[in-house]
Amino acid sequence: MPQSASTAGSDDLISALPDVLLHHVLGFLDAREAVRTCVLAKRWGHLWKSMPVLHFTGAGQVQLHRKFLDHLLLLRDRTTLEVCLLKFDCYVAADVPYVNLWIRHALLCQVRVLNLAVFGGGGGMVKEMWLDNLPVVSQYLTKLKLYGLRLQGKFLDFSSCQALQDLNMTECYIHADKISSRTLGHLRIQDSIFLSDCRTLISTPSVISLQVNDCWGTTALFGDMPLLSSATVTFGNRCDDYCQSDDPGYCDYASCLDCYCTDDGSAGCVVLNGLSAARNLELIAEPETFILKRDLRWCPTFSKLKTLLLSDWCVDGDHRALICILQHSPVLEMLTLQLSEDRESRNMVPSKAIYNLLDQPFPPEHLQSIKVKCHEVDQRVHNILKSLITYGVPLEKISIQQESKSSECFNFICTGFSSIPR
Amino acid sequence: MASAGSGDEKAAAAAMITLISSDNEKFEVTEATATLSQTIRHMIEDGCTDGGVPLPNVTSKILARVIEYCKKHATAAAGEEGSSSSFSDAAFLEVDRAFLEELEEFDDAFLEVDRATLFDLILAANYLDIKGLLNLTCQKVADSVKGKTPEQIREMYNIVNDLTPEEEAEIRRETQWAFE
Repeated sequence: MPQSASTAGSDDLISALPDVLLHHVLGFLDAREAVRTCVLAKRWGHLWKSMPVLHFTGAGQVQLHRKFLDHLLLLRDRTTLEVCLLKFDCYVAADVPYVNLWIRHALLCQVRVLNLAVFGGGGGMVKEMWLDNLPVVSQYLTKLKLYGLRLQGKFLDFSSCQALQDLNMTECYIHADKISSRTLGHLRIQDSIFLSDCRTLISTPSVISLQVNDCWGTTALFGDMPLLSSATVTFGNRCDDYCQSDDPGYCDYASCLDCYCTDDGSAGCVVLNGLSAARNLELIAEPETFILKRDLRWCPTFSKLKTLLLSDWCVDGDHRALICILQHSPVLEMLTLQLSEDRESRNMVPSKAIYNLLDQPFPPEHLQSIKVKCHEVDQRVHNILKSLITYGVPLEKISIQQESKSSECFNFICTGFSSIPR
Repeated sequence: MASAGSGDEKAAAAAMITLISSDNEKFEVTEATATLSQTIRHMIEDGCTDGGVPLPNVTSKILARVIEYCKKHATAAAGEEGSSSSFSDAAFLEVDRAFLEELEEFDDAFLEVDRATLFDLILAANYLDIKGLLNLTCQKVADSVKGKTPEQIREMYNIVNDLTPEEEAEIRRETQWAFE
């Protein structure tokens, strides 16, 4: 018999939906509103007890919502939770055990997607909530999203989360020597701070896509990620890596910890080695950023890299950083150089940084295009083109995109060379 | 999976699927469009789509709408796949953004239907296992009850309150914590 709702105009179509679909609708409501549908009619009386999706946004203090969440979580059926999203505006110290308890309870309910966001304390006093330093144990959790929390080593050791696929941390304080998961495929860390005594090791060998953007503190040590497909790493100007030498990547002091040591005291890359299997890579940093230039001394071969986006940091001073990366990217097809405004005035003193440069020009056979994006085709751009050509890039493969202030866009293909009048 | 809207007529023709509605109307769609439905995808994988796919739970009126949705979103899925390899290119992102906006507009317009059709779409999306369409339609229903009192919801959806005053009072006592 055809199942159709469109036979009558005054029928109660919504109550006629099967439980699974009503649950689906309730999952789009805030949990409080979803529970309140219980008084609509008999059909609705017990639906909330088996809702697989809990979506809770608490305005104001956590304590205002304790009674509700305690009742909801204790009185609902012992059915599995698919999704649990908890979002709080602010909290006081007494709330912390409760939030931790709810998280653990959700895990016991075999939650698959867990999302916890706690905004700082009220009254202009921003403080992040500590999550218990206990391991997350779940065979079911696939997605974990955390916002505004302080996290420690045991919590970030996901060896007891065999299904975890997706981890997202935003504005978190990471007090851990290690973030580890053997199963994680997608990792995103943004606007977070690494606060460990040594570099936090990111040990996620199954990661396919990685985004580490605008983090501060001591840059994390990226472990091997042989399955990596796409990675974006953006450095703001708040990372703590630096060297006493004012020439990033060059340092006289053999005992300089930032320059020569990774966490275990051995020399080597902090960031680049872990990214060396990437097919698509974006490395965006300010010219002053130290850590990437430091890494180039041990520049690995990016043996699968097809598309690459770099920013100002690799063409600051001289172009050896750029050349070094290109030399180590044997199958690169497309390079984009994104240059920010107003860098012309910088001192163009060649750096003494030591890079893992090779003698040969880089093999251009796979390279299809180099795109230089800039605000103005100035001397700096001119110099970059010259360097590229010196190292064997055919002129016709280079195009320049000028994004003027009026947000219009011009594209040039280089056809010839003449010096730009100063 | 065949790509939709690629203009490659030969490949598209080879991957046409016939869907048959409950009132026996036939719809020819590309495999890319049809496989947005997990139910149909499994049928194709099991090789039982020769001679058409009967969908006894879906009327031709609703099936036409569902296909309209799938066609649009299959193109989107193909576009996403195509651009993923050059994610760093702002020009591609620009195209993606424009396309996503277009898709959102499409979805908004798609939802401009009477209530009965909306519920038929929910049932069809569930039966055909089309996640995007199910989310879209259920979200629309959820949005319509947001911030409404029980009386307003009952009135809006013709829900008859079959609880006796005693029963309703008991339920309210049981869930008092949700009404504070």
